[in-house]
Amino acid sequence: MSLKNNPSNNQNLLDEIEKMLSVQWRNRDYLKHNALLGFCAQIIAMQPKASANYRENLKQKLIVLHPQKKKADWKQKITTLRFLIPSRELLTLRTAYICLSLVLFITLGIINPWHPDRKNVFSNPKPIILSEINSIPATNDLSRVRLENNLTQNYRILKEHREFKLIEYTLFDGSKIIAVENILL
Amino acid sequence: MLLDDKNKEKKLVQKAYHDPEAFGELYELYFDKIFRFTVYRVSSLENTEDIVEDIFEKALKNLSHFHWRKNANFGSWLFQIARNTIIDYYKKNSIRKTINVADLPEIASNEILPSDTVKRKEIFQDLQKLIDNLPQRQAEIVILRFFGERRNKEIAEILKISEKTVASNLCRALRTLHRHYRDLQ
Repeated sequence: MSLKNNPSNNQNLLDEIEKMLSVQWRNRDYLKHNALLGFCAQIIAMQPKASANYRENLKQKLIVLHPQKKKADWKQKITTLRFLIPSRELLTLRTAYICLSLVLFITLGIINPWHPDRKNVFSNPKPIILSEINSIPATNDLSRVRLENNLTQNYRILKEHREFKLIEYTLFDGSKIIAVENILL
Repeated sequence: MLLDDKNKEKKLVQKAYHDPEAFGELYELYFDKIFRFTVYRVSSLENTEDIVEDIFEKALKNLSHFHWRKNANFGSWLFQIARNTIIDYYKKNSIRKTINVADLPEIASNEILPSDTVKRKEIFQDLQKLIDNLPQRQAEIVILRFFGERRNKEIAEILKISEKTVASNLCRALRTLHRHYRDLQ
C-alpha cells in the first residue's frame, strides 16, 4: 500500500485501521504484511493492565461513595429509628394524661410524704437538746430550771401561766400527749 | 460503538443515577480504557492509580450533570474528565521524572509481543517516549484512538475539533511514530 501524504491515502489508511480495530485478534495475521498496520497492531497489543486488587477496591469504594447509596443508608437509619419513636396513633390526650400521672406518681414516690419517719418529723415536737436550753434568756430562769429537771422525767412543761400550765406527757409506748393543767384547782 | 450497545449504555447511565451497582457496571466497561489512556500520559503506576481514582470519583460526583446528547455519549464525557484531570496533574507536577521499569505497570501478554515481562515493559517505555515526542495534539489523538479505544468522531467531540482534523493528525502521528520506532530498532 502506497502511503504518500495525500487525503485519499490518509482515508485508506484510516479505513484499514478502522477495519483492523474492528477485527478479532485471530484474524489479524494479514497485518504483518503491512509494516505500518503491523506497527499499529503492536501499539494496540501494548496494553498496560492494573492489578485486579486495585481495580476491585476502587469499584467497591465508588459503590460506597455513590450518592444514592449514602441516601439509602440514611433512609435505613431513619427507618430503624422509627421503631423507637411512638407512632402518631399513640400521641393522644389520653396517653398524655397517663404519662403525666406516671410522672406525678414517680415524683411522689421520691418525696414520699406518707413514709412513717417523715410523718414523725412533721407531727412530733422537736426533741429538746441542752444547747437550746442554754439559749433561753436568763430572765426566765424559773422555767429554764424546771425544763432541765423535767427532761429526765416523762413530762415537760411547755408553758406556765398564773392560771394554768401546758404539759407534754410522754407515754410508755413513746407517744406524747399535751394536757392543760389548771393550777387554781 | 454499535447502536444496540449505545442504547444499552444509555439505559445503564440512566440507571446509574440511582443505582450504585449500575455505576459499577459502567466502571467495568470503561476501567481498562481509562487506565490505559492515563498510564500512557503519566507513566508511573502509582500516579496513574491516583489519577484514575480521581477520574472515577469526579465522574460519580458529577453524574447527575451528565445529559446524553447526540454527539456526546458517556464515554466521551468520561474521557473529557480524564483529560482535564491529567492536565490538572501536570499543572501541579510540571517536571517529568524518568520512571524505572519496575515502577511501570504490567503489560498484558500477547502473541505479537515478547514473552519476557521486562522486555514488554521496555517496549512500552520506548513507545511511550515516542508518543511523548509527538506534538501535543497528535499524542492525545493517538492515545485516545489506540488506548482509549475512541472512534474519530468521539475524539473530535472530546478535543472540540473537526473529525477531519482528527483523521489527518492521526495519520501523520502514526507515520512519524512508525519511522522513529524503526530507527530505534
